Amino acid sequence: MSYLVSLLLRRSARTVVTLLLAATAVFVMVRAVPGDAAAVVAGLDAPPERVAEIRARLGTDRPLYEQYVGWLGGLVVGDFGESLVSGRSVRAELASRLPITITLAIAAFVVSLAIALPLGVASGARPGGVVDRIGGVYSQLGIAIPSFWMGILLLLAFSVRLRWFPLFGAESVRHFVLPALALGIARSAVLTRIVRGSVTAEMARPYVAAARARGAGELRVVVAHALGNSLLPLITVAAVQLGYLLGGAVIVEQVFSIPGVGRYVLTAIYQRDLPVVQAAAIVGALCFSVASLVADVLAGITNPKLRASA
Amino acid sequence: MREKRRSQGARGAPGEGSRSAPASSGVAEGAPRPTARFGGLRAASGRPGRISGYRRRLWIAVGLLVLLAGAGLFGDQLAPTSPVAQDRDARFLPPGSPGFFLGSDEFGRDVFSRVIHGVRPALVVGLGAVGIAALVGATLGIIAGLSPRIVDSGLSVVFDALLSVPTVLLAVVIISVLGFGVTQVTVALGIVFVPLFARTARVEAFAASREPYYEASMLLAVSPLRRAAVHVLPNVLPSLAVLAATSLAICIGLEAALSYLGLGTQPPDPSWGIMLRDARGHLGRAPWLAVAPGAALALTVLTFNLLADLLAERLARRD
Repeated sequence: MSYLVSLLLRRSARTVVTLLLAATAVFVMVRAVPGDAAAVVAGLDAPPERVAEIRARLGTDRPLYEQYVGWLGGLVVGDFGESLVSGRSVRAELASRLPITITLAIAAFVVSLAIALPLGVASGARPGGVVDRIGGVYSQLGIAIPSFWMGILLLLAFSVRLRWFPLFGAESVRHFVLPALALGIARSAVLTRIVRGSVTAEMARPYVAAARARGAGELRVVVAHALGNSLLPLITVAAVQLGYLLGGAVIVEQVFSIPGVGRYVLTAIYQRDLPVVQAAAIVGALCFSVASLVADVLAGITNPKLRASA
Repeated sequence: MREKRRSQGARGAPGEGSRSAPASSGVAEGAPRPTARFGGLRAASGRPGRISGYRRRLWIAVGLLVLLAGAGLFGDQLAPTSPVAQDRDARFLPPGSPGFFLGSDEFGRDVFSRVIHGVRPALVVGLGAVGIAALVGATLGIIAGLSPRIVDSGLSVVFDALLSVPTVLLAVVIISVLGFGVTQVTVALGIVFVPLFARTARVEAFAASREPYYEASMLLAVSPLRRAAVHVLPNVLPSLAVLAATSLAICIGLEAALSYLGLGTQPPDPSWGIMLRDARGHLGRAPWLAVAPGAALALTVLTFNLLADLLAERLARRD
């Protein structure tokens, strides 16, 4: 138990440090722009008063350290400032859109697991077999086909031709099927390779040979002996996938016109709404860091090997 | 603790190496360190000791590479027409129409010519971004790997922090500052990929610094710069080569995605991402517009992924 408490504490401390540094990096990047950010935001032939007003709203008229402390202090209490364009609270705007994006990411995650687990396990159980070859081609293609093209192809087949699914929007469950597939298939290709590698490595262990020697059938060897152990390391991999899915959702949302965080951020970039873009990056880092924290703790609970080595 | 770093970062598993590179000493989770990106794109493929169809895949990869290089270098000569030439009388012609092998788009531009002309920008952005990332990342990584622990930990924590922001979002932040365009996207992707290269270089540099020849060079008072160049760099390069090939594939995909979002290549310049964006608006009327640019993009990504796999297998065999 004390091991878990110390793991949780150490891991949480690191998450906080990582997030603070990520926030700092984003701050530095935005401030490092040569010239006046406010002038960039205002546009080319904006009157000086407008530039001064934006400068005040961005806070770039204050000394750098003051801006930095203000920005970090705001983040700690969850205050991302106001949108330069609408003047509304960025946090409220993000909060209303985040559920849509997270729904999409989780749906895609389920899709990717539903494909990758059976395919990866079957491939890894018999390397070089028929399933493995099909799985190999599938994962190469899945990695090569970008999710936004996959989305367009799915739209072409299932919305334009077959008319099974709507062309855009996010009103019902049916709206999420194709985006989740587009995003999930690309991830499943990567996951299949990881699952396969993990299972293959586990199948080469002595205990598997021992199980075979005792006369266990191949199915039993894979399912009852190797499977559990080979899936343990995948908990941390799953967290990584979630981070990737959040980034990928930005693009896929655009293809399917889903009004999530991705669309919000994109509109913000076109309008040079810096506070919104910054906030989205931090929220992305937050989601990923928390997922990876949870995964590490879960891995600590489920995997006794980690406990022994700590 | 320091020894642990090394054992985890051993080059034995090049597939996992880049992703699960251990980070800051002081925190040992035992589990691979995740990042928000590249969810183990190149994770363990092929069972150890047996390389299936290595030769065949090598030829496929080389063939595709030659094809790409040819289209990139001689695109102007290969394409039948200019990628921006508009023809009001030839709008939305289906593939196979005379003079329009792959059809034409809403402005009567030749899809085939535009696809061919899209090769060069894709390769230039990819190579540029990976070049920036490799140069800066390798330098920072080697410095971290050879520095005293406090400097090393500090740099590593920064790399981790940068990797915690999802790739697309970080690129978008940088682009919102730099502005839209091909150069901006190249620089943005270059910056985004720096921590990944730095982390890989750091692990290899640290491993090299434990080798007897490195310790001997310390005793012989070889200058630090020379030591890094002669004794460390050669150890770092193989892993970086694998990472570079993978990153090239990812960067080319991201460039297309960013152009799709309207942040990268600007119209009327040909770009696969922009072509797909245009195609999205005419799915019912001209479905063929969505096929060719996507296929070209997928083929390019496939080429560099194949190359990365082959390189990784080669390295695994050598060790």
